[in-house]
Amino acid sequence: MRKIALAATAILLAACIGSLIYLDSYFNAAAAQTLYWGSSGAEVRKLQETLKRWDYYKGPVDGVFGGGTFEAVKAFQRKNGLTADGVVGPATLKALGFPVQAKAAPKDYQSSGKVVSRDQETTLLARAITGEARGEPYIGQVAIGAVILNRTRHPSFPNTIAGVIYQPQAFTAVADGQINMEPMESCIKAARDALNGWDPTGGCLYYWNPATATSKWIWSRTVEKKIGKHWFGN
Amino acid sequence: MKYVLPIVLAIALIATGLWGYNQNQEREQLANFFMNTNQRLYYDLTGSVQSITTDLSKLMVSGQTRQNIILYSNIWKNAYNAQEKLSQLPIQHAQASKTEKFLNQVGDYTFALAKRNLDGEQLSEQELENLEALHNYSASLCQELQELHNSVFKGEVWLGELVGKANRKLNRQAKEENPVDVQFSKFEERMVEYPELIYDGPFSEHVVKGRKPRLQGDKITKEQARKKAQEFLGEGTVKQIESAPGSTGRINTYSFEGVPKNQTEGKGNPIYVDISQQIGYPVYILNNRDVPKANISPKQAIKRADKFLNEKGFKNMMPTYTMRYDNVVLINYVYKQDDVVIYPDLIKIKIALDNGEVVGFDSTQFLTSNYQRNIEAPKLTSAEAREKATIRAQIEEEGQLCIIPTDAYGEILCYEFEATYKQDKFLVYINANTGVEEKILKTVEQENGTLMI
Repeated sequence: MRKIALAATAILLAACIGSLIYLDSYFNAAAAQTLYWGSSGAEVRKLQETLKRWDYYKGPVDGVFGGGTFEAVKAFQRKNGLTADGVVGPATLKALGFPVQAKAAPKDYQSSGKVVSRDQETTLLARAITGEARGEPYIGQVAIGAVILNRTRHPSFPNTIAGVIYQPQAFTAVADGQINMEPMESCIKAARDALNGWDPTGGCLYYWNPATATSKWIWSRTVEKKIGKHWFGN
Repeated sequence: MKYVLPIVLAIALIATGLWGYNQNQEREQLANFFMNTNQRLYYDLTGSVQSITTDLSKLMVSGQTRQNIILYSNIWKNAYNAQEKLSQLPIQHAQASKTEKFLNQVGDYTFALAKRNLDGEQLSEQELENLEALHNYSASLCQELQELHNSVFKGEVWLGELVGKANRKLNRQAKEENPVDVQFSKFEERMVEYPELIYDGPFSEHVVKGRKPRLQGDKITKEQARKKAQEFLGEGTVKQIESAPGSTGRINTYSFEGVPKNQTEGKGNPIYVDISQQIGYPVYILNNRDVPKANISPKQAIKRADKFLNEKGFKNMMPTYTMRYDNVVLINYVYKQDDVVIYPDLIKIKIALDNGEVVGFDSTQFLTSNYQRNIEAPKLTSAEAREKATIRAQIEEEGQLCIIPTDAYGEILCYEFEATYKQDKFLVYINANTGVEEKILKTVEQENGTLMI
């Protein structure tokens, strides 16, 4: 039991650290070297000097990252709210006040045509459709996508697709986490059609399932169209 | 008596189990809420940075103060918004401080340039270089955010990295979510107007409200509409057309559901057709069948679409932009009156590349805006308009006369010029009467087609 628990903890820890490092590397875009047990050289010497100055490190400044340095780094990390893993990554370097080398943007104008895309929005919309209407006929899936897009253009709703989808209390599939499922293929197609302007609802802002709707208020909406199990209205 | 202890223990065990289950449920709900909030912030952040990138590149080709100011203020607003979103994400300050600084500075800088531009000062060489550098930086930030996003979904960074660590924080956060705050943040949300992505050709999001010139006429009966739907789909394509509940809304329609000839009812993909109640125009077709392979080229597909539109009575339509997904091509058609391109009058058509069948059609915009316009001769010639346009970009010689919609559902007669700045391409619209730079669109060429932003 104990062994399993230990192993599990170790795996969890590793995953945590892993994701931390992952995040780090993206946000800093840093080319800075990571220092760990076994590293050596001028960088380590500098690290030891700094740690010694701040009373974390008592050993010799020899430029070799050993047990003493490891413990000192861990102590430093604990004190500074970092993951105490004894590895000097970008976050720790930053906390130490070492220059973290940022990736300089190229000086000449670079085309940004490739950078801007709608893939993210298509996937997000497809996820929402999958969560809300995977059992519905295709036209009903396009309709859900269209309602979400109609909302982004309406003054009473958020202006972005993410804003509408993640608006608290707006969609049950979001609240219960179904939105995080892999989107179905037909829902990806439906999301594309909706983004390309197909709107089977004729501009509706609301839909509900009359069999399961719990909100009384929703019944005060005018029904414009019925598609599959859903009613659409304004 | 000897059973008392086991019973008590059993009850205790069950109670503990239930309690644990409840706790777990609650934890899951909170985790979901937390995750959703973060996802949303993240998407909005990415969206804002994309807008900043696009607007910075548009600045390179903008030639008039008026357009500059619009772009500067958009950047300023989006930079503020992005910074705001970033600072709410549970990312340690140390991780994101550079990005925050960058966003703040982009905002500040463009605000300062806007003020100077209003005083009539032009950009210096150095400032132009700065803008280019900012543009590059924001483009790479954009890319990084998109890459990170993949790991947010796949590796569940928010959950592993943040929720696990932040359980205590989470409870506190839930307490702090008081209704006033939520309301306020929603309010603030709506104050920000995002530049809309125009997905399928210039100005396609435009819908004329209330004015439906094409739809003035006699109401047809359901039976007549049924025949039209049958006719529109072509003889033999459809076995049976069932009536679905009719649609009101933007256009009043009769809705039909058809089952293709070689399919049994209730299986496979039905075809959906809506026919307008007035006059009986086809409004849309949706057919989600699989298209396993491509036998014809996109060029041939355009020919098929041309023929289809002609047969169905949509004359003078000109293909503009195409997008290809899997084995289906989406073609945007706009109306052409004499030699003027009328962008508001848009029809979209999808052709399957296996047999050239029409698998999608949408004439909502065309039907709500098309009429014979009285177009007066422009006061400026193409060459005069060209002089009013961008100074920095390469610009084509001859402009194309066109009508573009305004945000307030009006229409403006413009010259459209293609402009190129280094590797990026744009469309610049110059008012054909006043010479004002009305709009700049960036054309983004992707694998599957061209995107207008």
